[in-house]
Amino acid sequence: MIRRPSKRELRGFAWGLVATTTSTLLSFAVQPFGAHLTDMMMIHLLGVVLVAMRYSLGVSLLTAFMAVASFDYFFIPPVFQFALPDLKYIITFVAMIVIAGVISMLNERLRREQAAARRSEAATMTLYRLSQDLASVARLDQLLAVGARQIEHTFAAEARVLLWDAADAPDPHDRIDLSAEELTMARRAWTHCERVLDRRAGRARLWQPLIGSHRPVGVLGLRFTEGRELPDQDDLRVLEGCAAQLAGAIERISLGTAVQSARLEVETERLRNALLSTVSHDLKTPLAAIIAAGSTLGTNHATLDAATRAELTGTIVESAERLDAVITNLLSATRLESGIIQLTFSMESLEELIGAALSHFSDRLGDRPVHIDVPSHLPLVRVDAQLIELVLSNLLENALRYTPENTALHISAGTSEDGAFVRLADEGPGILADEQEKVFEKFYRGSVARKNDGGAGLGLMICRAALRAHGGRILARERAGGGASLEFFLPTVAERAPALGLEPEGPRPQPRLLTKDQISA
Amino acid sequence: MSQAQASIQQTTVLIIEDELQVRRALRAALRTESYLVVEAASAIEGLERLTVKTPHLVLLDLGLPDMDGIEVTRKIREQSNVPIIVVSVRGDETNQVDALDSGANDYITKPVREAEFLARIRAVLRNGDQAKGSSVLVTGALRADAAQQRVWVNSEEVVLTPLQFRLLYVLMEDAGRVVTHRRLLQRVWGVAHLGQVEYLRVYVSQLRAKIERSPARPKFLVTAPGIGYRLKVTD
Repeated sequence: MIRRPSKRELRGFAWGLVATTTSTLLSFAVQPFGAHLTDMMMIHLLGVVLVAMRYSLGVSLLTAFMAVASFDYFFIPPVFQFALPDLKYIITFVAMIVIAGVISMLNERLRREQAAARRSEAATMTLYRLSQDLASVARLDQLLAVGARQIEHTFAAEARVLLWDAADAPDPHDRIDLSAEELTMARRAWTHCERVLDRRAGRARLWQPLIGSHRPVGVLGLRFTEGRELPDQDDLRVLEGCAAQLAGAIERISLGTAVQSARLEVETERLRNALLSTVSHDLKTPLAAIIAAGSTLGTNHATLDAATRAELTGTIVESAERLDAVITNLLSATRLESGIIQLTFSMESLEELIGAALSHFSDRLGDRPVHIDVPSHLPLVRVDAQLIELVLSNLLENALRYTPENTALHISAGTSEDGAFVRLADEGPGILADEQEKVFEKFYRGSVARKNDGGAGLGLMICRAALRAHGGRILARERAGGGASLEFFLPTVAERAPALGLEPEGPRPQPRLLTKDQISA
Repeated sequence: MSQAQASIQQTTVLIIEDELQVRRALRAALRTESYLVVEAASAIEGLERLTVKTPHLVLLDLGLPDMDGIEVTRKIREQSNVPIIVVSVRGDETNQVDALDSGANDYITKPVREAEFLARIRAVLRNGDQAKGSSVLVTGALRADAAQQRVWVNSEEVVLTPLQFRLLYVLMEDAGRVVTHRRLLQRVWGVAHLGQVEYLRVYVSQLRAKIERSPARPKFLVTAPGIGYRLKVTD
């Protein structure tokens, strides 16, 4: 074990010399004051101990020997020559050397333990930081990037995380910059669940399998920089910790995705079933009526009386129109849901929209009293006319369907602090308080609707989606005096109705002309 | 009505529609009013028939497979001034407006009930009945005198501002038929204000407030959603 002494050792040796010299001088200094040999021995011992506290065993022992030699030479008679001392001095010398050795060893152990503690702390920090980074990641590709980055930083190497799916098939992405050889080794690490080391070709490589709760989820590959050694035992332990965390995070994300898609599937299935059952019912019912009435008319045309014939043809037409309405609603609902509908906004008059909806239903309204309370100078609202008409149609449809034939309908409109509103109230059975929110859900049929064989439950859902698209809202309430009151609110443009300065209107002051930009704002 | 019936006896209607079932239904409806029906199943065939048969009215489906409806309208207009009613599905308003602006006289949205269908046809055919150049128009309960700028509803005079009068008059000139926003703006305000439908809405609202008993359920001034306005004729 003869090797070149390190710088530190040389320094230690130098200090050893200094300590010995100082001890000797100090001893000479106290000699005239009646100090015994034992006292001077203590001074030398002190010097040796001071050196032993800082330097290695070799240096300490050497210093001890120097001290002993110096003491022997300078103080033990015969003075100023090396002579083998008496037994009592030999014991002292041996003791001094042993003490120096022990102290030095203790110190070394302490230093080693300190170093180990520091390394351990660094390892913990690494794992902690890694776990923090990984915890916030929700996507697999982000995970790989974040994890790799932290590991690269800690181990001063290039890192790659390779994922394999359940089968052996390697996942194609991210393999591009690996050589065939590297791929083979990575694969080996994966199949055998064992770390694979590679020291050839100038750069050290390492493949650490990432093992999840049941099975390996991937492999972590490290490519160290030129000249660096493979990590030692302690570092490897840290690496294993990182690998475990990575594996855990990968599993967590895969599970999360799996749960998400499962949930989505269940929901889709539920809606699909609801849709199928309601659709088939609401489409088939009017169709059945049409076929029945049509075939009766066809076979018995000559023998039926005029009134019956009129009734049957009436059934055919009404059922067909009902079918049309259901299909329109289904299409609208689908389009609204998938966001296909592109809204075209224009400034419209609520009075006009209400009028259009009412005229559409004029036949079905028949002799019903319809009370209209729409002030004449309502500001125009910026809406998609077709969509708002659809809303009004659906509201009217519901009112007509779920209230007795001769009860009145009340339509009002106006402005409030929540915007422009339209209210349609009826005098029918109304909507129960706990259903007032639920009726807007897809396919929800309230207790009243379920009693009367009614529509698919899409109408109000469409209304809500349409209002939302306008930044407005719709709600159901109880009408004072009985019945249901459906009201919707639309945000108004800040300007009032454009009073057009194209002609003076009697005593009114000249209104200003709105420019095109102001109107379309 | 017998005078009208006599003239209808000779009336030929050309149906240009590719779906057999629809043609059948239209034919049956038209025959109840004793119209003479000529059919074509494609645009090319339709244009051909137009030249040969010179119908009094053309019913044109906008969804023909071999040519765009607007183009057919234009081609028909190149040849003749025959009244055209375009037929298409709900939701196709842009096409309908374009067709109306390209020369069609009115539109029908499928599905439509027979009564409405026949009423539209009668309205379009009545185009020639209003004596041209006469300053007094009478449409149902409305009577308007252009020379004096006065209007009576059910024999009661209603005071209108000049622009309101003009708006009503323009609609009465085309009574029963739809007038597009564009045409209204053009005829009442001039070309400069073509894009500003809001103007129209406000004035229509004012007009309704004056001539309708229940402005929210108009009997005369009816909205054709997304397209324009129509003065309804009850007969």
